[in-house]
Amino acid sequence: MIVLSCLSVGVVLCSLAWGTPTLSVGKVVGALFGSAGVEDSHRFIVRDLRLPRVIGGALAGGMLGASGAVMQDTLRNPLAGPELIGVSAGASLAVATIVAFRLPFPGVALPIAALAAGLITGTLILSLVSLKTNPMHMLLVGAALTALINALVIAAITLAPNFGGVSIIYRFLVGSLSDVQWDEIRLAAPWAIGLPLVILLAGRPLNILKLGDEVAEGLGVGVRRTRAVLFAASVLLVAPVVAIAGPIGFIALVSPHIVRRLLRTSDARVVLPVAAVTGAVLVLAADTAARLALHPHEVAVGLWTALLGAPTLLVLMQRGILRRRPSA
Amino acid sequence: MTGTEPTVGHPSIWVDRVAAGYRGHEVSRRLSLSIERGSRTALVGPNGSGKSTILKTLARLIKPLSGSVYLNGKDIGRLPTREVARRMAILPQVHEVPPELTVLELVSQGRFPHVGALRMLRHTDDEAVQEAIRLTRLEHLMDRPVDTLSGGEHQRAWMALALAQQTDLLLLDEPTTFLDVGHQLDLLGLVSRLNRDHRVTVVMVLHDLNHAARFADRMIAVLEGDVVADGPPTEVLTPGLLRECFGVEASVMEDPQTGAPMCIPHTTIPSDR
Amino acid sequence: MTAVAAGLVRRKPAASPNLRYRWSVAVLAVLLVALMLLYVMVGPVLFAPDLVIKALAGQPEEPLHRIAVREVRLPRALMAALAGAMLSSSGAFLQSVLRNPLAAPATVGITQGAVLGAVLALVLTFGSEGALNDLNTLVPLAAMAGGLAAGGLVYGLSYRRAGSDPLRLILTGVVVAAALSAATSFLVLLSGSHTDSIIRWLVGSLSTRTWDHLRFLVPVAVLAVPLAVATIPVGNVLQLGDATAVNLGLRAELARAGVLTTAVVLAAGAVSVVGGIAFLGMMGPHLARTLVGSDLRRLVVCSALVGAIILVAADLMARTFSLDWIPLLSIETESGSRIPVGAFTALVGAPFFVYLLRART
Repeated sequence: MIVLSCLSVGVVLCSLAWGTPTLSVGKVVGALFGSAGVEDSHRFIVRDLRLPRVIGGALAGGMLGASGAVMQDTLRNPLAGPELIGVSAGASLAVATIVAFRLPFPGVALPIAALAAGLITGTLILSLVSLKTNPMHMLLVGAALTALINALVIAAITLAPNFGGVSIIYRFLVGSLSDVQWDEIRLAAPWAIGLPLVILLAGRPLNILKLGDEVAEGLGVGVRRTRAVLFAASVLLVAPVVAIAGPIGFIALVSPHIVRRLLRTSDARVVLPVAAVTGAVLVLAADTAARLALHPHEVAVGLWTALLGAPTLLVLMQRGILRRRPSA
Repeated sequence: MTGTEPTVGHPSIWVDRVAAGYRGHEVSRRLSLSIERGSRTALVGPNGSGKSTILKTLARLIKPLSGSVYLNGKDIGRLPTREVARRMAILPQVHEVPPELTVLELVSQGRFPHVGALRMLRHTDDEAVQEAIRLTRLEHLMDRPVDTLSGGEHQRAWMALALAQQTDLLLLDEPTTFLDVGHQLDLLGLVSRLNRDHRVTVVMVLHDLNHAARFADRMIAVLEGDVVADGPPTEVLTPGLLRECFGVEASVMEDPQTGAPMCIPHTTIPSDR
Repeated sequence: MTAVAAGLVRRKPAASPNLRYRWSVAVLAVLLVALMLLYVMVGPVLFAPDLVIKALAGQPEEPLHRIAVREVRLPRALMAALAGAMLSSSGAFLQSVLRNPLAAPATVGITQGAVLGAVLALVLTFGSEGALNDLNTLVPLAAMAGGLAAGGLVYGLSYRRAGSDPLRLILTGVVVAAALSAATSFLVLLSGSHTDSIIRWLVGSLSTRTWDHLRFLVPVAVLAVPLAVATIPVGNVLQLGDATAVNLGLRAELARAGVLTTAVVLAAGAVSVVGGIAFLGMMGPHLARTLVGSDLRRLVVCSALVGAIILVAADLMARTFSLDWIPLLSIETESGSRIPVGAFTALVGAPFFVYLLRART
């Protein structure tokens, strides 16, 4: 815990300080709290360019991490995550269509559209894959569905009247924080209230659900309703992230696993908040890398998370978190 | 059935000081066995005793960790695997069937060891397939997809695949699991007829001791990878063995119709473990 | 339409599989030829069938006809048919050897590898103002290499001491596919130019394909035929499970490597000229299976025909369909901005995919 909080403060400071120009920590703190003796340009850089992006990244990572933890326990599938089962892609398709074709939607409605589309894809996939089947099956179905939706995202964007270039495609395919400014933060902020609510309320039902349907039912938990509500909550956490930053992948999948492995617990009441913090740290680190590594090019943060996340997933699979196969 | 060539003098299978199992998990240390031509052998033992592992080692599905298995006097590990498949067929415990594959298409695959990858099926191959389907009484189901069959029909279709191989040695890994009692008797009766009419040597792993005693002429009891009893059913199926091997108190009597011994287990013996 | 027909045929158990197979092949072949004729007829200028035949025979009434038919439409139609057949039959091999109905070139990373190869070649040659003709051979070559390398990578990563196994292969494939497409995106973002042609590669498109591309594709297809002939009987045995395969005298690991090689060559070849077309490799074999069952000898032939039909039809639609037809959308599209054929197959593929999974559970 202590390590994690130190790490998060460190990452926040680093992502505020590094870039062009790189500022000293003192200057960053000065700019933030408006002390005298800080150049206006620096203050502008820190407060209006980097700070919203850092807040947006932390918010996105936190919500994704918590969402993944809820989803994995709700579906009792270690491979569940909004990016793997098509929820993120579906939400992104909705947002991409609205943005690319300039459909007459008020900006405030973007997260709502993303939520609706995410819920639709989520329900679709759950109606296709029974929870009792092999967790691998859901991964395969989700991968196929995601590939398909991505083809539609590309089609929608290329067909749009004024094609905005590659960067916009990548915002909707892999997720990017480069467009996040104060406006976007304002858009997502009200939804962020969901985060502490979910962390506080979801832990106990999740722990009971994990014991299996029959046991949970015996303990007086309405399994179907609880599961539906929790699943909707996990989509709710993802929707605003997709609306402002696109479908950043692998954070929701990996953060809960890291937490469970490090803390050696699967108690949802512990995993949920720690996974949220871990997700925030991961996104900020990846985004800072995205800004700096190939400077002056900027590579969308979702690409970094995908490039790092795919091998992590391979390792997780090999470590046998998924050994549920019949023995020979 | 048509033997490939007469190899008189050798036992059908000879297991010479074999260590069976998987790397890091040795099931059997120094196993030696000899299966005579034309015999019906049943491997019995409690869950996890290693009887399936031993059968799989005989069938070269698992390589022995040390020692050798000889088929008709030849080291099975050195024979081309297709040649082995012309002399020995195995009915595995779990099957995978692709959707929409018909019974006829499935059984035809049994000719692969004789035909190989590039030659077309000949008349004799067709005859072998038809014979296998006739023996298993699947004529009316030939064009049905295998995944639509009932459990008993399903098992018969796989049995037909093994029969189409036209081998003189047949290995069966718990062939009666998932079958109801009627289908169990059906299948074991077919195995007995094959043995009697076609001189097919049979080695099978069986869970049901009474079935083993009735349908085999030799029983081998396995415990923790070692042979603890070996002989005709009347000598193997005894209260003493049931106590030692399965941990049950049981009485053994004679089946008034077949004369085979049969056991009725009463209580388990509390184990020290 | 074919799906409905398949459903009807299936209800009647009387027709023997062999007869059904012959009928299916005959009907599909006629359908394919008819579609290709239609394909050559339809375009910015509509040709009557007799004009097409004259132009094909080399006696056009106007030289322009000859160019339109023989240089533009015919190669594209042939390419659509050939690539569709290759992708779809590759899917048939993959589904049987991996024993999974969801297996396809795009789910195990072959497509993504080929696309990465193509994009790499495109990006590296942007700076040099190389002749377009060079690109027409260089890019497919790079794509082919990429597809083969991806296949090898997936196999290598899932290989253990006891060999490979279908489930591990397919899961490794999914992950490798994700990583490869991320790498492609990386390249695209860094290059920052010529994005239009790159995007057409990502989704798959047949526009601006010429005889050059066909000259590349045909040898690959010819190479694949003996491979397919040799691996079909092996694949037939292997789809019954490893234990049965070994029991029948097959060296399972070698056999799997052989069948996978066939599938990879077919898919990489097709993707190297038409790009990462979605869902053909999954859809084709499924439709074919409802027609003729799972015996690979029949399934591969039928999948190839179905795949060819789907891609020719989809590209015909992609070529003629214009967004201006949707009145409600009343948006101005740039002239010539057609929907890439890959988007079409995805649109058709989505409901099909859902139907497929529902039917299974």
